Amino acid sequence: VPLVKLTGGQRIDLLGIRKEDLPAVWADLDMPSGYAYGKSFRTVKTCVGSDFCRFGVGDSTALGIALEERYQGIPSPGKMKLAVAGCPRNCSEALCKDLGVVAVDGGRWEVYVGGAAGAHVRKGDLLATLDDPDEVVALAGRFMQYYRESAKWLERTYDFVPRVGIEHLRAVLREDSEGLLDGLDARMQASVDAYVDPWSEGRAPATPGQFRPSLPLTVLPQVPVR
Amino acid sequence: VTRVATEHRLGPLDAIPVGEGRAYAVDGVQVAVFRLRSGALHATQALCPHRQGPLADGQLDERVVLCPLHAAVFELATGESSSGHGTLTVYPVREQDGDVLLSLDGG
Repeated sequence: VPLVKLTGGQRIDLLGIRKEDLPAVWADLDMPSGYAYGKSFRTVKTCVGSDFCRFGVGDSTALGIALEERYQGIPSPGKMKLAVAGCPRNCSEALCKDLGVVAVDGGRWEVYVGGAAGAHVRKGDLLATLDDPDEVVALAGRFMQYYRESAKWLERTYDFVPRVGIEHLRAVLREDSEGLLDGLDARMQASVDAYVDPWSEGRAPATPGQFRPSLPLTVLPQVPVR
Repeated sequence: VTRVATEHRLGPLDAIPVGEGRAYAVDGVQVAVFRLRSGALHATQALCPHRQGPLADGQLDERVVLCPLHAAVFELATGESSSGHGTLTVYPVREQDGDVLLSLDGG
């Protein structure tokens, strides 16, 4: 493995492995995929939360794990990067994620959508303030499903949210102004139920030659070994 | 790879999943062969002229392939790019008795 990196999304990057070696590497690791490559639900970054931080007002780690376990690997028009912060100090950068959750005083949770901190930088818009972590998980699913069904291909939430407007999203996702919520919940549940870890394809390739070299006469990847 | 007239036999068509591409070395030339959902076959040079991405790993529909590295767009039939990334060499390719036959000449 030419390069190991610990990423901002709390993954472990193993970089520069040849395509044809991937099944063996995945078998050795015996870990789930981190989706670093996908137009999909990525990771839920968290701060340490109320257990270990003197400023923490909510258990951000537990909520982050709950979100990630439920929605792992869900495909979407663009990347969906999430975070949960245990207080408004933003250590997990929840204010500039596609969907960010921030614990506030009184055991409540603010849900921000449409944030970004890449080539485009944008603070998320406040979608709702909720009392219960379970409500956060449900609203996150509704927002992501609405985005999956309504956004253009490769349109990130930082373009999608301003295009449709945060007031429209509040109406649709909080007041059910268009009667969509039951359908959104059901279709997201179907996606969650259909989830299979993609790295299991290393054991039985999904298609013939899935792990064949992409360029038979070229040694790939062409990277220096540090 | 055996030579049949001016055509090279690349092996079974079933080695290319429907809706995907696979890369072959043909007489020292790297070629990407695409099997469309309609059943049509197309073949192009395997490397993207932009930054040498492996086109066989690209996303495709009935008309175009997108390079997996930077989403350069190429017409499968003509090799022309609608994203301004140059023109691919295209090769005549066909199926016969379950095998893929490709010609490097007349491309």
